[in-house]
Order: sequence, then C-alpha cells, then structure tokens
Amino acid sequence: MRKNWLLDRRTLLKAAGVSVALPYLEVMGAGERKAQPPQRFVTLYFPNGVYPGAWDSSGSGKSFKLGGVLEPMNPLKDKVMTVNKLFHPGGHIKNALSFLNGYHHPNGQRIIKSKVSIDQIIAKKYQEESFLPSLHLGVEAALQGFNGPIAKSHGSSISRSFSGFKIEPELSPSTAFDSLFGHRVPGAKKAINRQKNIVDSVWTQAKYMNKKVSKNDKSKMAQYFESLRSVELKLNKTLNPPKKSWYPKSEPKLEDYKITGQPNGHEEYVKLMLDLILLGLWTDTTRVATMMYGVSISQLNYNFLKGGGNHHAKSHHRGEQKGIDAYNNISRWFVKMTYELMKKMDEVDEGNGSMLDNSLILLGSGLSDGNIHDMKNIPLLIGGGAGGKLKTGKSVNISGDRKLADLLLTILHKFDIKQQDLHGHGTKVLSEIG
Amino acid sequence: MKLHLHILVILSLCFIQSIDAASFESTVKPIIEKYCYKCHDEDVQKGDLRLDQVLTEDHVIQHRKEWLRVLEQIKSKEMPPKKPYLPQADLDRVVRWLDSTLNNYDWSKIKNPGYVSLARLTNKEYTNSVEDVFRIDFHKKSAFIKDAEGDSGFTNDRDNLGMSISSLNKYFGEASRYADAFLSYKNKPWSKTFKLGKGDKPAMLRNNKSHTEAIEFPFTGVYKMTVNAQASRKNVTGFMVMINNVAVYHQSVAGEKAQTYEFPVFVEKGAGTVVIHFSKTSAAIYNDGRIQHKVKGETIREISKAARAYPRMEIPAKHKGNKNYQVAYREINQKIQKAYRGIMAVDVLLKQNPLPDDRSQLYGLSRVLECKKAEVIFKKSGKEMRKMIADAIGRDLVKECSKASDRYYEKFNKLYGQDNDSLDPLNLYSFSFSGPFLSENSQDPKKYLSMPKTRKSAETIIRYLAIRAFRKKVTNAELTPILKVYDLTFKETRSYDVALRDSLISLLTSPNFLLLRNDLPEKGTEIDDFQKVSRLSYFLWQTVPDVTLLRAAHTAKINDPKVLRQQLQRMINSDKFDSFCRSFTHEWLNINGVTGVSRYIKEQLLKEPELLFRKIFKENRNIFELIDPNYTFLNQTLAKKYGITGVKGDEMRLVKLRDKRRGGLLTMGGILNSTSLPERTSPVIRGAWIVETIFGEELPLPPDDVPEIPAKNKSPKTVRQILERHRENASCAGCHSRIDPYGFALENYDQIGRWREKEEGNHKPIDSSMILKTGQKTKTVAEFKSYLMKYKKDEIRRNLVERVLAFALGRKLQYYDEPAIQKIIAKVKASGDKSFFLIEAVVQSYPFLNQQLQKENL
Repeated sequence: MRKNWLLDRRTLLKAAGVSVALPYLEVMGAGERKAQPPQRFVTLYFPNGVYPGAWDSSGSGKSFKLGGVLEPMNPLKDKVMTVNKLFHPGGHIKNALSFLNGYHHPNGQRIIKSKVSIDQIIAKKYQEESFLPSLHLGVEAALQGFNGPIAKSHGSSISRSFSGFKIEPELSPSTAFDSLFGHRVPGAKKAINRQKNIVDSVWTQAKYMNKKVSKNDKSKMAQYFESLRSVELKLNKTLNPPKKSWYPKSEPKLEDYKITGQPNGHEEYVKLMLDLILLGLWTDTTRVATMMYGVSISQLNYNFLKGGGNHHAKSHHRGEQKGIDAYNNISRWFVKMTYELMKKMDEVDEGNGSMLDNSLILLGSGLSDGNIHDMKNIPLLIGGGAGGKLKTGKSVNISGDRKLADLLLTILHKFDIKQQDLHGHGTKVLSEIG
Repeated sequence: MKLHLHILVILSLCFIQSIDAASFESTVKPIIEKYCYKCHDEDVQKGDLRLDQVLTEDHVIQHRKEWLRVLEQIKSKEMPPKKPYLPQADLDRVVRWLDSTLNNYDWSKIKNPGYVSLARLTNKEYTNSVEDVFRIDFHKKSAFIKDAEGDSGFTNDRDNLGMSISSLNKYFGEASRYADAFLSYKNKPWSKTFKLGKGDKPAMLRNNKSHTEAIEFPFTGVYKMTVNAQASRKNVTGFMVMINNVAVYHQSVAGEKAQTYEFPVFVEKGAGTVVIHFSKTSAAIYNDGRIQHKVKGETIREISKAARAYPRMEIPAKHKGNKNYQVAYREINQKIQKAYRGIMAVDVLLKQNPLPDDRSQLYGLSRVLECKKAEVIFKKSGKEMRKMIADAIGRDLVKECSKASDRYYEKFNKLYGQDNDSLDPLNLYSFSFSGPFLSENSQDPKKYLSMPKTRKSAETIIRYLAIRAFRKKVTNAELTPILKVYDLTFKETRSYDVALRDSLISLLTSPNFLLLRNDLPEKGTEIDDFQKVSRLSYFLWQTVPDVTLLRAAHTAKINDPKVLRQQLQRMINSDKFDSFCRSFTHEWLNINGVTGVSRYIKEQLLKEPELLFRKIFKENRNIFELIDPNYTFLNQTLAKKYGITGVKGDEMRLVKLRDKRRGGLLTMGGILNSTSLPERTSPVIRGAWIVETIFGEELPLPPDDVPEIPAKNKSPKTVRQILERHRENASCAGCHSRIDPYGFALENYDQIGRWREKEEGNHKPIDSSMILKTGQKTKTVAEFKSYLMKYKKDEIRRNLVERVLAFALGRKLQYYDEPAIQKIIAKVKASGDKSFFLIEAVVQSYPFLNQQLQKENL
C-alpha cells in the first residue's frame, strides 16, 4: 500500500499565497535495492521550554503513556521515546546555541565561536554521498537587542560548523528549495563551467588576501573559505552527482519546480519548511536537517491557535491558568507539526522499513520551565528507528545528573561515530536509551 | 580653566601616592569580603554582580563601569541593604580607595587602541557599497536577512559579522543580478502600459481586492513603474504593489483628482506577477492607531470549519490525461476552496444578520475569476485560462458571479465590519513599466558600456570599479584572477558582454570587496591612509569611500587636519550621511520594535527621531537639542496624533512647538510606543530605557519569577499606583527606585504615544511627577526635561560620545578606551557641545586611527 502513497497534496508546497508549480509525483521504479537505506538525522528545536509536567511521560511498551502536550504524537507512540531528567545549562541564549554541541560557555566571555555541533559531525560522515551535506531551516529572524550582556542574535542558530561558527538557518522557502534542487532545474549544468571559473578566481583572490591579514583575522577568513568551499562542492556535485550506494525507491519529480514569495499564515509557513525537509530526505539530497520553530526568546505570535499569543510572554505564565494554557497550546502545536512530518516520513517505504525507521528525530528545547528559566529535566523526545539502532516506545529516566551533551554523544554512537567525548561535557553514552 | 586642571592633576597625584597599593590587600579587600560576598559571590551573583574575583587595581580598572556602580551604591549607603551595614570607618576606607582608583587613575599608563576585526559588510553596507561602486541606484530589495546587533549595540559590530556557510551562495546570486542590471543599460528602451477598466471607466479596487497582471520582463534591472489612480471619494485610501509576491511599494492616495505615481522597481528577467493590492496599511490613516478586527474569533473558526467541506471540480473526462488541465484544475480547486471560505463567511454572517437576497453564495464563487495568477505559472493567456474556468463551472455562472460580486461585496463588507477605519474604494486607470530606468542621482554607465568591445575596455572598466570596490590601490595580483575570468568566459562564449558580466561577478564576490579589512600596521599602530578613509566612509556613509576620499588617501592629505575637517564637512553635507542618521538613531534608540500601528505610521514614527538627529548633526547644532528642542518633525497624520493643528500634507517637516509637551526624543511616539506593552504603558520599561539608552548605565537583568502586573490593567488603581506598591518590597526597590521614577515622568503619554490626562479603563487622573531618592522632584514633562538639562548633561554627553565612538569603530568599547572617551568629551564640551566637534573628535581619536592586537592585560 505504501508504494502508492504520495505527499499530501493539500499541504505540500501549497501554502496560501505561494505560487508553486506542483511537482508530479511519480514512482520512478525500483532503484538500487541491495544496499541499506541511509540513516538520517533531523533535529527540531523549539525555544522557551515547556510547562512543568506537560512533557512528563511514563512506562514502556503497552504501558507507555505520553504526557500532556505530547498527545498529538500518540498515533506514533511506538516509534518515539522520551528522554527525561537531563540537564542543560546556559540560560536563554546559550541553551539554544549549544543545543546541538552541548558545550557550556563560561560566563562573562564574548561569544564569537563555539564548538562543532553533532549535526555537522554526522553530515561530514555523509558528505561524499549527499548532495547537500546538511539543511538548516528556521522561521524567525535573529532578534535585535540584548539579553543581559549577551546579544540576542547569538540564539538564532543551533548549528555550529567545524570551525565553531554559527550556521544561520535559512528562512526563505524558495532559497531553501533552490539550495536543495536548484541544480536539477533544466539547464543548470550548462553554465556550470563558467561558474566554476568565477569560483576559482575568488579562491585565488581569497588565498592572496589571506596571506595579508593578521593572525587575529584568520578565523574570519576561515569562515569565508568555508562558505566558498560549500559553493564549490555544490558545483562539483552538480557536475558529477555523488555516487551512492543507495537510491530512493520512489521519488517526487521535480521539474519546473519553483517557489516564490512567502506563505501567508505561520502554520502554512512551518508546514512548507517541514515539507522541504521531507523532500530533501526523501530524494536523498540531504541526510541531515535542522529546523528551529523559533529563535531563543522567540517573539513569534501564535494567535492563530485558540489561546495562543506571544511565545516568550506566554512562557512566563506566572502560574496563571490562562498563560499556562496558552504555553501548553503552543508546545502542543510544535509536537503536532513534528508528528505530521514524522507521519509522512513513516509513509515513505524504503524497502527496508519506512523512511522514519531509517531516521533519528530529535525534538526538544534547551530550557525546562520557561517561567523560571529552569535548566533541569529539559523536554526531549527521540523518534524513528535510526536504521534499527533505536528501540522506541518507552519513557526513559536518566539517573545521576547527566547532561544533554551525553545524549548528543549517544546519538553520534547511533550513527556509528564512536567518539568518546563531546567537547568535554559529553563523556558517557546513555546506556538507558538502549 | 587650565589652572583648575593643573590643580586637579596635582591633587590626584598626591592621592595616588597617599594610597599604598599593598594597603588594599590588607584593608579594603577584607571589608568587601566581609560585607559583599554574601550576595555577590560566584553562587549568588545578585544583580548579575560578582565581587569575589581577584581584586587588584588592574581588575578594578578593567571592570570600571561595574565598580563605578559599586562605588555609588556604597557611597549612598544603598548597599549593603541589610545588616550587617558598613561601619562608617570601613565605608570611608573603601570609598576612598575605589574613588582614587577609578576616578583619579593615571590613564596615560594605558595606550591600547584596541582591535577591530576583519568582518563582512553589514547587509546595509553591502547594498550601499554595490550601488556606489557602480554609482547607480538599483532600488533593489536586499536578499539578506536584517543583521542583528552585536555586543556594541550596533549591527556594524565587526566581531559579530561573519560569513555563514551558505552566505557566499547568496552573494553569488546577488552579484549576478547586479551585474545583469549594470549591463542592462545598454538595452534599448522598453515600455509597456496596461489600461484598466472599461472605456473611460476605471477599474475599482476595494477592500481585499487586487489587480493581477502577468508580465514578461525583458531584462534584469531597474524599471520605472507608474500607477494612475484616484481616491473614489474624498477619503484617504491606499494601495500596495507586489512583484513576484514581494511588496515593493506602498502609496497613500488622497484627493479626487487622478494622479500618476511614479517609482523605480528592481525586477528580474522573465515572467513576473504584478499585483496592485488595495491596502489599508499603506494609507495615511490613523484613527486610534490600531487596526482592529471586529470579527470575533468564534466566527472565524466557524467559517474555517464550514469551508473545509468545499466542493471540488472534476476534470472533464476527455482532458483527464492532459497535464496542463491537471495543473489548472488543481489551481481552480484551490481557488474554489478559498472562495468557499468566502461563501461560508457570508453564510455564517447571514445567520447573524439576515439579508433579503439569497444569492449571496455567488459572491464567493465570483472569486473563482481571480485565477489570473495561474496565467503566469502555466504560461497560458488570460483568455485561455478564463475559457478553461468557464468550461469548468459554466459560462452563465461566470457572468452571474461577476455581476453579483460587486453588489454583494458592499453588503458583505458592511456586515463583516472588517475594520473600523474602513476605506473608500480606489479607482485604477492604468499602470506601466518602462526601462532601463536610471534615477536622478545615478551616473550614466554609458561611458563604460559604449566603449569598444575589447579586452582592453574590459580591463579598464574592471580596474576602475575595483579601486572603489576594494577601497584601495589595486595590485595586479588582485586584478589578474578577475581578468582571467573574462578570458575564460570569452574563450567559451565569444561574447564580450557575457565575459564582462562574469568578471563583474568575480569582482563583487571577492573577499577584497565583501570583507572589510582592518589590517595591523606594519610598523607602529597607525593604520594606513586608505584604511582611514575607509573607516571614515563606513562610519558616516555606510558605504565605500568615493573618489575624493580615495584621492585624499592617495596623496596622504587626509592626515592634514584642515583637509580632514573639509572632508568631514563635505561628508556630513552629502545625502549619504542620511544612512548614518537612520542606522545610528534606530539602533541606538532601539525603536525598530514599534508595533501595533499601520505601516505608514510606523514609517513616520521612525523618521521623527532620525530627522531631529539629522538636523542637529547637519547644522552643527547643540547635541542637547536631542532632549529639549522647541521643534520637532511632523506631517499631518503624526501632528493629528500628537494633537497639534495646522500641519497639512504628507511630508515630514519642521514644526515649531507651542508648548513642551512635545519636543525631544523622550516625547516621540516611536520611543513611547516601543517602550510600552501592547495594551498599557510600562513605566518600568520606559524608565529602564532612559537609564540605559540615554544615561548609558548598564542595568542588571530582572530576577526570574517576579510577579508582574497584567499586560492589560483592569484594576481600579492606576499602573503607577500598582507599581508603587510593588516597590514597597525591599528586594525590588533596589533597582526599581532607580528606574521607575523616570518612567512615571512620561505617564502622560499612552502606550502608542498620544497625550492623555486620564488612564484608560479606570479613568483615574494621570500623575506624572517624578521623585528621585535624592529628593529631586519634577511635576510635568516640561520640568522633567529641564531637570535632565540641568543635572544629567554629563551622563547624556558621555553616553552619546560612547555610542558614536562604538559605532565609528564597529566594536564594543573596552576599559582601555577610557582615555580616548575622556578626550572626546573634553573637546565636545569645549566646543559648546556642538555636534560637528563630536564627530571630529571621534575620527581624530586614538582608537579610530590606530589598530593593535588586543592585550588581555594592561
């Protein structure tokens, strides 16, 4: 049955106000089947924490019960697990910027660089095979102003490159789409030699300049090189598509595909971005994706939900019932959106189980109770089967004051990246995950 | 005066000698340990303050701002707030030591200009720079997300400006668009006019309606668009133009005579959708400042629920396999769904307010006719498309719909009561595009484009543009890679134009252009002359230095104080100076968060402080006019909002004020609005804003989990009364007694900046008196401004100097900048607080002209 399933036509890239030439989805016939489908890693981050208790779940197997705001996830209950009692220090801004690297930034220090995040470590493993090593999406621009001594802009990204620099999420659906599929547009290859010549000339200029700049500025030049390398990589891969051990069984046909403009409503916007992740993974254009439902201290307004409002304001509910309800409604909506993505992933048959079975989904926030900026017992949910490496359908309590960094290290192990340490903070795999 | 200084110096020298450094360890440190650590050690850090780190003179100097606060708090006996209090003898000892260390420090010991790091241009600087390299106004919307502020408080904080991994991908895209636009000026003129309506009758645009046209644009570049429109009745109305779903232009329309509105737009080559949308937020309307939706949430939910069960159109059997039909029908069904929502809206509303006629369903269906967008997407003509739709829903129905639509729309609108400032329809006669368009300030690129198509010409053009783009002398090593692109492309395509285009892309994505260099000098610390003019230019213009500045660098004349002064005056007189005024005021005052008002009003609210700042700096006026001038900048709408009569027309102009209720930053709607909550004022936020933004103090973060008063005050007590009770709590009073009084002084302005005598809701009279802990009092805003002018000048001057210096340098100020700050302050003060001398002193300051690797210690 799964074979005939197509992307939900009403939602896919059809957000009101966006003119989209809809793709015709066709089953392209069997690809190479011998090899195992690849593992994918998707992180969905939401800011401002959750109301205490709203994420609490218990039991395992049949007795596994999902807590309050996790209710939309129920139909996929068997394919998720909650990870409880982990600790993640850092307050509002730092919790976001270290959500995927687990690094603890000392107080009172300027933040220019951080440490590499695990999505990049995983992306590097697959960079030869996937066209776009990783996809980073968001739906809220970096905030202006300060949170105490730290500029709020530091909290606008959860991903850090190997040199420790912020990877700014893409907010424009059309740009994100182009970065995934621009190379498939007919004629894209024609101009590529000329583009390569331009990139080469910029390389020469940058190398020459690099000799002249002071030692202090080498790191800024490194960022420039990093960015240039990604352009070059993309051109090379367009010219010589990566040789893969596995090809998707079915694929949406992407000819004449274009998105312009911005969707009308926020929900449509988010759904469109999540669909882009789905498309990217499905076509095996990328294997690693991150999505931020909002930046740290998110000011997004959820008035479109019954009892919504400004997310950060509602997270400071002050114990008032109305505020708590709104806070929970917003948290529940993040879960619902994530559920919808996971549901679609689960409907893509990859021969060896569904796409969801081959992926590891991480959903969570770097704060616990947003009202008091609590850092203990942060809300975390892992989903998917990680290619048979994850036993889901349970609620796991981690004992002994362990940190989020330990979970990040555990995730690396699930991708067969068996390093023993993550920036000095992830030191031991969480055996409870199983 | 001089004598005075000498005495001070001698006195302070004596002081330093009288205090034995070692005495600190034995006498001062134990006191701080005993009385302060309890709340300010590593674990507690009350008020974000930690005092338990190694205390040395160096440490105290490096954290000067914090320790000045400590000194003040101890001196005024605010701290410690609880027993055990400091015995007088200990207090004197600590105060004497801190006072001498902090205030009588021998700053000549410190000579560190700091280090401004290499950085990409801000997005604004990038756009400005590209335009000034070509000297063409491209009117292009930035493809980049707005930059966020760095630690300096400004978006040009160089530490904060790095490249993200996907940045260059975008820069390549932008560069190719700019290169295409530059080369478009060799194109023959092209124009196209679209007449709207029938015969002499214009097309009518009403609420939520728009006119859509599909246009094939022949090249990427700047076009002049004109719209001929008229307000159908005497009231103000407005429209918005969207090209490819991006809003490019807003216009408020008034008066019954049809007018032609002209404006430049940047459009990419190929099929484009142009939508002229009736827009109330573009109109110069300001009733009570908020766009209100009267439709209750319940009704909307009911409508959406009903609309979900919309009927779908089936593709006729004979076309089933045709892809075009499939696509078109999908689009049709989408439209019907939308329309159905309209039908349901009418249905639901009809239940509430019955209409005599039952054909209201047709209203919704008529929306099906708006399928024009599909024309562009599927490359079908409007006629074909309409035929397709007519085939689908029946020809008669189409006619019927379009007639019914007009009739019902009005009724629908009345019922819907969509907004309280319902607008009159707009008459649209025609619109047109013509290009390539060159705006007034642009320099005609013909002199480049009419050159013979040879490699030599290409080299000349590239070299000329590169000097400006790279802001320095260009070496062959830097030029060769760009010319190589020309050669390679020419070899492949045999086209001069294409080869020139590709080499321009290389030029515009070169690190020499995108990254602002701040190289370390080879000898000493003084930066080279090209970097000096580059710093000048990015400070006052936010763009590349022009030829005159580059020449002044080339001849080293920029080092001549007379030349520098001339150049500064020229730069301030230039239109490019407006860019600095805008960025600096918006980011300093932090007013980008103006919300809850229409787009039109927001623009005026942001302009008001910008224009005041501009006047003061362009005319070398006294900087304290920022606080207490007898004029401000208004247009009709804003004047109405402020309750000032006699201002007619759209443009913002100088208005002399008759009383002190307006005038100065603190009385401006933009500031009052962005320091309020949506439904009430917040004296706390306003007070904190004054302390931080105007006085330049750093406030600690409020503690977590503080009880707050609700966002909407429903209590019979005024916001002020509630806050005053809140402050009875000793733990809150510490900070709030420093903050709230200033906010109270502005209570006569409501949350969107209108003058008020009574608080909304409870109708209690406003009390705008300010009482400080020192006992100083003011009763009215006028008195408050006088108070600031009398007692707060030093703080305000220092703050402005620090902000301008941080902006000029592009970095957060550090303790070692103190000697430079003091020098600038002295110069400004000596000049009678004239704005020009502030700028001059900043660009002559040690950190502005020097660069050195930052040393962690003194």
